[in-house]
Amino acid sequence: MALIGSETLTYVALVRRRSLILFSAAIALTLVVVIDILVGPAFLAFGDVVSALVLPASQVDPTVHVIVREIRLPMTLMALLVGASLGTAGALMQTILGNPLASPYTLGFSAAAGCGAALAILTGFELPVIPDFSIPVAACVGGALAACIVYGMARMRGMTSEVMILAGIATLFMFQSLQSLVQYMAAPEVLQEIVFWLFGSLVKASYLSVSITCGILLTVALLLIPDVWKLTALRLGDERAQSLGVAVERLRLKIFALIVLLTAGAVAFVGTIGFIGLVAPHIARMLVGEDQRVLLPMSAVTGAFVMASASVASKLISPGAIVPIGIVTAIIGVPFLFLLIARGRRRFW
Amino acid sequence: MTLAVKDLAVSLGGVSIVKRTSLTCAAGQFVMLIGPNGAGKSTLLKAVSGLLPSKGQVHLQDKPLATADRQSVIAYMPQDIGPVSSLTVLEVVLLGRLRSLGLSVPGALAEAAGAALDQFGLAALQGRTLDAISGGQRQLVYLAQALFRQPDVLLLDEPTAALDLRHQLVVLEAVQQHCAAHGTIAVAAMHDLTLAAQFADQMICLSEGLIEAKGPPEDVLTADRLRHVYGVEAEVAYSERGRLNVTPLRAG
Repeated sequence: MALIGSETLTYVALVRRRSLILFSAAIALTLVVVIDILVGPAFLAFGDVVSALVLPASQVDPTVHVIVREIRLPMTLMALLVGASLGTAGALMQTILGNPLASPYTLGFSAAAGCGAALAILTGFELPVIPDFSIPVAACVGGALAACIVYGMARMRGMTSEVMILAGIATLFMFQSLQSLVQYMAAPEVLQEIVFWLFGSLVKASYLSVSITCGILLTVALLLIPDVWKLTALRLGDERAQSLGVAVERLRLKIFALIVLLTAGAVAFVGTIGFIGLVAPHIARMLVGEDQRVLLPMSAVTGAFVMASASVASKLISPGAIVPIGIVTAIIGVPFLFLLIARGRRRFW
Repeated sequence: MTLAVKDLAVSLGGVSIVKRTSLTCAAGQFVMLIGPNGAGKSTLLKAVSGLLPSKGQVHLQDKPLATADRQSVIAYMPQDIGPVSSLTVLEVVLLGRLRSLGLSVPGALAEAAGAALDQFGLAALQGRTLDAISGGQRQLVYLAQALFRQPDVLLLDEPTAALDLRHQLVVLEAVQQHCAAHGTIAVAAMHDLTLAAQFADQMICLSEGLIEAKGPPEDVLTADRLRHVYGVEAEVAYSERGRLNVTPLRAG
């Protein structure tokens, strides 16, 4: 599947082709989203779901209305936004670090967020005004702490990608150990709650959490627009990017902060989702190349597609129940990635 | 236009690599920087381009250039061919005008980038990715990018290192023509002294971070100097066409 880089293609044709691929991916995503809303443990009829979506509440069975509008729709929207956020965060991280194994998960952000959440659950931590947000806030604090550690270490050695990766992996191990310690200390019922959070699940999605995650994603997208070509230049190596006029260290710091925001916004409400941030950018890169103007939206769409597909699968695996989505994301995404690798002829990561 | 480097000094890890070096290059000049490995050629080029912190000053047309401003007028081409990437050849060239690029690329800019590739016979490869072309072709693409920037000063670190005989000439001729046409100052670090002598308007010999000699190639490339700087016996002769040839001689 040589989707990019054909020798005979002119640049204009290449841009058109990439746009077509992005558009096709968006169509595929829309289909999966529709299926995700239609599917659920309540086994609602197709017509009932559509009615609940398009008709006012007064004209729909109240139970159907609640299931579709208050449970399924927020879950589906959350799956989309979390997938898009993690896909974008992964693509950004792989770009600024020049490393195919970089992702918010592999660099310890997700583990730290999980550790923060686990600690909050263990200690019964509650915020005074917004108690429902206690665990998400604790997760955000954990993620931000990991980012500070990685950044602090990297800052001491000139913000090089090698130091950031090494610091990130060390941070991952440290917070995984802390997570294990918290779990070891927890009573059985608390442990169950911690483990469920760490699995990653969409069931707690609400319109408020959807709005927050959406707001973060849109803000980050706007902040990225002035830097898309600078990020593309970074793929030529730090020295070349610098010689082209990119302030590499400053750009890396800004993008690093945006990655923390995206990751925090995603995992705070749904728990640890490890696979999307690593693999969505790879799939996107194979399809559209490394021009960040296309790669970033494609990574977002791919991440959302894998996440929405995983959401569908999580409802179908065990009829009448919803398996935590974090368990099935890799099961859905890995075969797709393997297919692209097997059919591709590219040597780059 | 004149490029003047005054008392430039670079230390890395406490080791002095370039020691209070001064040089002047006139508009349109093609300057060859020679010297053995470790002499400080690459470090000097990087420091002038602003990629390495340094002491001393760099002036262009008698105006001092702050380190942060140098990338807008100086294009530097490193000697390595960079990481493996799936960026297309045309995208790499387009990046030469980073500041002109927005969410959409104007057709005229893409055409100009294609024309920059065409001078090296690479226009047909514009849709290919960097990982799908040879190291030599990649070197040419980066040179096309550097020329596409239309800089006042072009700094090239071993621009012919990965190239075959024909492309060595293609590259150096393209740079020379560009300098003559646009008044660009080009400084290239070179190891092939015979090739460098053919194109040099001025040659600068660097040794242990200091300028050992500068001037026309015939003044700089002498057997005594090569013995002193490179530690080898070399035959410096003129061909029937009057071209200077440098041939290192085996001991015995």
